[in-house]
Amino acid sequence: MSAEIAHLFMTGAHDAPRRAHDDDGRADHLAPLVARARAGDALAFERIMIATEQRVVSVAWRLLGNREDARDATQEVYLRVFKYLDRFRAGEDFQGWLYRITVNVCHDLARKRRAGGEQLDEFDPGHERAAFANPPGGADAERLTLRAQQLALVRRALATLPEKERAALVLRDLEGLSTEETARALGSRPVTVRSQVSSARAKIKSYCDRLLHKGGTAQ
Amino acid sequence: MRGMTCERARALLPLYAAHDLDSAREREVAAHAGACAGCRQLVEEFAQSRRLTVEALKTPDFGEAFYAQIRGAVLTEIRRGQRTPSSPSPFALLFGRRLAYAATFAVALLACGLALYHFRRAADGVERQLVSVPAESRQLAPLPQPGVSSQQATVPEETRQRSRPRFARVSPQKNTRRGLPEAASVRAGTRFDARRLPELPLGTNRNVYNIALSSPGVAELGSVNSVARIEIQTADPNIRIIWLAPRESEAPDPNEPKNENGERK
Repeated sequence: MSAEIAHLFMTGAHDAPRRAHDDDGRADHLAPLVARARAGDALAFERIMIATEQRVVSVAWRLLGNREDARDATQEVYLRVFKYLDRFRAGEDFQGWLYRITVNVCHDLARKRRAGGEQLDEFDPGHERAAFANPPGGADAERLTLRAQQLALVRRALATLPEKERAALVLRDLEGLSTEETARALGSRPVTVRSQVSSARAKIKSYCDRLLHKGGTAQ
Repeated sequence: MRGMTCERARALLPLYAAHDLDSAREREVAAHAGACAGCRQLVEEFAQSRRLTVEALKTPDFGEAFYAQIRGAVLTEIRRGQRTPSSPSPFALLFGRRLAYAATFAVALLACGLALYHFRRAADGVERQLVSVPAESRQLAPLPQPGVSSQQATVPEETRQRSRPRFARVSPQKNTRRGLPEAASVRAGTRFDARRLPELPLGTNRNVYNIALSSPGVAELGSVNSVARIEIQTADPNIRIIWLAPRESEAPDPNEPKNENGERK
């Protein structure tokens, strides 16, 4: 946090953008920064990164499933953003453009990993470990264990989804974009996104039902 | 409006549970779910599954150092490569990828047009060449005289040379692929009719004549006392049109007088 404050002080805190997760989802305040970054202002570009990096990392982590891949993908996303910044037209939705690049980079990375024989199917169990660092005893422990199993199951279910359905579900249900925004970010039509999201939700539910009932555990 | 059935409702439930349906459809599903306990249960399950999904994929806190590391790596890379935002050409700014797609399409169209033009030109060339076969080469080669054996029935060398157009030739040759009758003939001015061809026994070698023709379909032949083999060589060396004319003697003359036993005199 102190590093962030120092950074904002150095770059002029009076016009520092808010974090993306704080804002209302619209990226209009980024327009002047984008214009300055296009002119070659590295500090403006850095501030764009600060404003948007959490969303980018979040999407990358949800699409790729682990922290290291999310970091690599985020770096590549910003390098591409910088490279193609001149192709971004003023007045367009910068956030949507950024989402589109993020999804494309994640798909490229996932394909590269798969081609290299790496497994992408398991989600980083980081928070489960944190949740069980000091497990409570008794009934609470049992309830928490059950909950953790359910969450792990959902993550595994998400990992089994096809690439496009997964991206649509992440943007629509987890990032909270509207169907139209999701469609723009994915370069498809709203009706397609609706169909992909519907299919993804049904598959996740079906996957969890099947495994929970097979394991004899009620949801 | 059709009534909402369980099947239809269940197809819409994943969207209904997240309020993704339009208002009219949502009212329909809600009305159905209100009356159907099974669908109501499914609605609840979908809602719970969605809540679980959101909870399961809540982004962990990666910490400020994680983000600082990303920013540092990106900025270092930018400075090291001295990358600047690329300056696309005015064409790219105007059209972007559309220009590339349009150019590709135009090239493909041009290639198709050229291929079609050459194909037609080649076809026209063959027709012209066939029509323009020299008149001398359309003449019939000397025919074997009656009583002359087929082996002796040869065309003089100069006639053979003269009558060799580019795509058609007149020359006697042995037909070794298919035997022909001994002495078929075609009258002068007779129109060739393939239906009149006799059944040919296999294994009989006969002299036949290749006769150059400029017009397919009709063969005007001179006095020929043997089977005429008419070949037209097209521009394509693999395509040769072959006609066979029947011998005159095998076509009985209905006016020929016969004796009392019905035999020819």
